[in-house]
Amino acid sequence: MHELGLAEGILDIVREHVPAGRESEVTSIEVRVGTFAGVDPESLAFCFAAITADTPLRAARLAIERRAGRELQVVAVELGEAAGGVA
Amino acid sequence: MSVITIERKVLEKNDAIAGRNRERLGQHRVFALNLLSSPGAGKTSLLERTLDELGGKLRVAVIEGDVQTDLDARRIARHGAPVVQIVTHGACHLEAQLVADALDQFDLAAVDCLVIENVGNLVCPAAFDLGEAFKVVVSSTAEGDDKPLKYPAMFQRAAALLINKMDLLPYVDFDVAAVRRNALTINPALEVFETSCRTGEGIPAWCGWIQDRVARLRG
Repeated sequence: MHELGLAEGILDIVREHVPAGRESEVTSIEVRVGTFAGVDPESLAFCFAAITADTPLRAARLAIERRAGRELQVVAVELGEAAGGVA
Repeated sequence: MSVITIERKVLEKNDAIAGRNRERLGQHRVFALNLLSSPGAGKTSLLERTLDELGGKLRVAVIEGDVQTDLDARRIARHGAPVVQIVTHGACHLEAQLVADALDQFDLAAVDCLVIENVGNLVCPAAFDLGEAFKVVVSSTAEGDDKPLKYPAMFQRAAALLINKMDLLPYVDFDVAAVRRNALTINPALEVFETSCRTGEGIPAWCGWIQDRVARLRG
């Protein structure tokens, strides 16, 4: 049950890369999870949703791509229209 | 729609600290092992046996990781080894920073081998590098023989597997050959030792492996 800590790690990385004020535009966060990473993808997505529920990133969903190996990486974020139509 | 490319490891902070731990251990030529198993596989008993076997041959220090209590550190201290207890207060694994803090409390110049006994858990500790040379996984005959298949990440990352509590073999349905086969399928390079802390079976072979590795490191 270390997925909560990993979700916080993902959140920290995303915040470092998304320009200030544009967090609400993030629709999707692409994360690569290796089959030997020791991570449960469902639990990771649940934890990420829980810690972002009251933040501007609440609309962002983890798009988890399973790979062979041990990889655990934040690949990219996708920005769309901000929730509520704010550009 | 726009995309920001990131490509960063989620555990990069832990990995960076683990790298510094590894460097620090390397400076003092300390051979470090990260000992992993589910709760109750016999990690602490194995350590006690190991300390007795290596007494007078190698200077072994121990970091004990537990969710609560310093019971294990007290057991280890009775064998005369320098020991630091890390209490995680609920966390299910050790992280590199906790080990970095513990390293401050040892005289590393007076240590040949450091054994880090991780929190009993076959899932989470696999992902966290602590700066060790090798991970060693302990699986006991009382746990059943399907552990390598159920927890492949741990077995894939380990350098050695200790099949412990061999003295219980007559009383349990445990297929040693199947465990070896399954573990070696996941990780063909795995060194496998069959041990018993009650009879002492396999302890000299396991300690010989440690001594061999320390000798290689210290030239």
